[in-house]
Amino acid sequence: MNLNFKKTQNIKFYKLFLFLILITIYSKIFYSQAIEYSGFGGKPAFPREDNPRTESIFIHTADPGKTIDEGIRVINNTNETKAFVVYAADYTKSTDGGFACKQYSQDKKGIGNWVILDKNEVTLYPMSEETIPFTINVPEDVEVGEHNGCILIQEKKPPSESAGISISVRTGLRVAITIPGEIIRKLSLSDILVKRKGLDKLTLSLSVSNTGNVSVDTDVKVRVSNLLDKEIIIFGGQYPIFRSDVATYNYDVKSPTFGSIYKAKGIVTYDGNAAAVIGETGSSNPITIETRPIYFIVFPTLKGLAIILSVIFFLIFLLLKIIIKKKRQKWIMKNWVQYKARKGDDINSLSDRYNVNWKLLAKTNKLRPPYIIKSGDILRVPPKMDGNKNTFTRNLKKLGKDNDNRISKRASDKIKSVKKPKVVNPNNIHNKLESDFNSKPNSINKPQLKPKSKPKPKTFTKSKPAVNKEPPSKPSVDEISSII
Amino acid sequence: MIFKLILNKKSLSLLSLFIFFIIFTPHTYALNTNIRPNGDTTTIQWTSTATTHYTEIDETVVQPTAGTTTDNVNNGGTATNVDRYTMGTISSIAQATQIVVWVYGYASKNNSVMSVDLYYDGSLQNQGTVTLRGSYSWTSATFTGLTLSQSNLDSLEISISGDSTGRTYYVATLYADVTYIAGSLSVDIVDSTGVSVSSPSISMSEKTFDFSNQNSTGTFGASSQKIRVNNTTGSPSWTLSLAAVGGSTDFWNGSTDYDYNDPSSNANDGSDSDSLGGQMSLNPSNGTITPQSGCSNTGLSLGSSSSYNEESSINSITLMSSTASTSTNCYWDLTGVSVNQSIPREQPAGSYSIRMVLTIVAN
Repeated sequence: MNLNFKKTQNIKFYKLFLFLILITIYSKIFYSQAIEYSGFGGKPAFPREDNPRTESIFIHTADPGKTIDEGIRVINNTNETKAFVVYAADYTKSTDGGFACKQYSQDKKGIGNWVILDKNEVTLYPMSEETIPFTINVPEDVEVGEHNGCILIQEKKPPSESAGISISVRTGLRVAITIPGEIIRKLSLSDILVKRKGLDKLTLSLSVSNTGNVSVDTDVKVRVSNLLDKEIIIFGGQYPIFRSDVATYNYDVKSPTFGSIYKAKGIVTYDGNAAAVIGETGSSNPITIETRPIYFIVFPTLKGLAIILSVIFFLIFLLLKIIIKKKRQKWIMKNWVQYKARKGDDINSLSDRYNVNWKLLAKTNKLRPPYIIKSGDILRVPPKMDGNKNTFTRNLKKLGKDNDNRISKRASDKIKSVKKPKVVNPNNIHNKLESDFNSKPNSINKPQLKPKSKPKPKTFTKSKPAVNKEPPSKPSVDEISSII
Repeated sequence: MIFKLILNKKSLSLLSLFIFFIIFTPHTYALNTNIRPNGDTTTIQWTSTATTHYTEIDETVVQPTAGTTTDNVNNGGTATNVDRYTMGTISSIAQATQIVVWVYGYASKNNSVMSVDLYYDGSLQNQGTVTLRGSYSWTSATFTGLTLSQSNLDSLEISISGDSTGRTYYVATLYADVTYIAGSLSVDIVDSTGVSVSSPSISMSEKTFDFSNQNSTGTFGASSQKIRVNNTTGSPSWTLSLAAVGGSTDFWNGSTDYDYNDPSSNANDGSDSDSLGGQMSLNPSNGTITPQSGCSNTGLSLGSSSSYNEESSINSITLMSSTASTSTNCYWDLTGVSVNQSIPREQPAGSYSIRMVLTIVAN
């Protein structure tokens, strides 16, 4: 019994032990991930209060032969203890006017050779830093102007042996040493180039050449405006352009929905004062140079293109419709004849007789619901019947040969399919309304007037047809136009 | 015997606790700097021996060394009186995580509680207290778990006020011990969760032997290997570039080497110093920059499509660069930089590699 108890206790204990170990490992992993803030890097150890740029780069003016004492703070903001190699290297230009540093293995001829660090390796705990002092020994025979180089911090670890491109990372700080003398600060511009990147995207490319002997912190702008010179967008920023370098800046222009024609101009502003120092603000001799404006077309986006095409098609449709109406109106004016209504004529009977849509007939003759036709009314009707079909229909077919009139034909056919109007006796309406009012007011809107047996509405002739001996006046073009 | 000892319950308990504490105890490597009062705010209600109050308590002394008691400030026995001071700052921090406010003072009655509050961004953010004894001594209020940014710390103000009316509180020295993480500019290759990749690489498409020259392609900055630029300094200007470790004379290493920077057409050998053909091109302009939440891409630009070229001295290709208008205290992930390598004709089958270095430079 005691043995069993002891065994159970031991098992429980080992389970607890295992649990603690697992929790510990888990906590370590979790904690490690949680505290990681950023990578490793460096900063100048002795920045100057009067120049904020000295918080990130080393800036000095020194005569030939002079030695400058400096220091770099190597910072490890990772969650691991890391060993770093710290070294100086010469400047090399990168593409697009970027600042880059030569490799550890490459020859050092400039600042890479001038800098001597107190030590080249440092091991740092997580979230810690160390300052490494160094000196910059300016040679006696150095050329006047600005000289650039780097101090780099790179993790010390064996290279990857895997196939493909293995990547290592390093962080550098620019070292800019200016040798006094005849300092030239001069920039020149080339025209903006427009490079297409597909149908609805393009790149504006501006190149700035530094023809002086010092780097120039330059305010680069590409101003894009419409044809009325209204500003659309300004690209740019402040970039350092290095000595004897050509910096190219690319800005992507995305198409506006409906596309447009634009104008672009490059504008560059810099301090032309030879005594100006990197990072010191307040230019005493600001110089602005501009490129010639260039004009370019930006195509619409697919969405915009779809909208534009839709609008164009809609406008074409409207135009065709108007043309057809005009043609039909002209044709009616030319071909329809006058007709004096007789007793028993109504809109339906005339429509049937002349094989024409009742709506067209009503419109042409300005008839309004309930489409009452009095005996003796002068109406315009299609020409006389010719066999089963009248001339009007035949002519419509003829007209339908061309494109416009095909639509007319379709419209005519469509009109024919529309239900015939309900033509009623107004007296009946009155009586009906009266009886409805007396019995059930709500039934006034019900289709009480619908003929029970015959689908066609009853025709109604208000009075006897009065024969008009005088020839009826022909409706004017304006009158017809107003109703079609 | 040893085995028994190891398996002994007490030993195991102690061992496990030891491992637990060793591993789990938070690191204490963060940096500390003291900042002191450097100005009076408009809330100055205590009594001072000088016109300006902060000059009475900004002594450079650090505890446990006694402060100078001949100059001090006191609340005149009124609990509602408050003195609030602006504080110095620390440049280029990534984050301040803890502030300990040290006070060298005393009260007319022993164990009198005094409020010590932190203000930043113009409003009260953290409240704390210290207990003053009947004679001058050091006492402190600790504020932990802070996440103060550079601008928060720049605007830091500390206020003091007595908690009990009728008691006079005297303060001779006050300073704040700030624990912070130093800001830095860095680049790293991280996975989709933001954890650093130990051996980053760019995989190129596999090719079979061909009697003609051909191209292999790859992507730098895949979702599992994002290029992360982190700038927690106060300076916004930097350039990110990629170059071969061996510089202009480097090459693809394998059974038969081939070049990465020869501009001759059809991957032939040109007039450069070596007898190898082949050229690598990068197109950063097709890449995507994803800013950290709350940050923007303002002022950032992607490099244009370029090829390494020994004859034109193009040994480094800019992937991304910033301007003076780019944000700080942010990170950005760059993905989708396309890589193309021309391979000479009849290049023997095999495994080839080249080492490249990704450099970020503050400029």
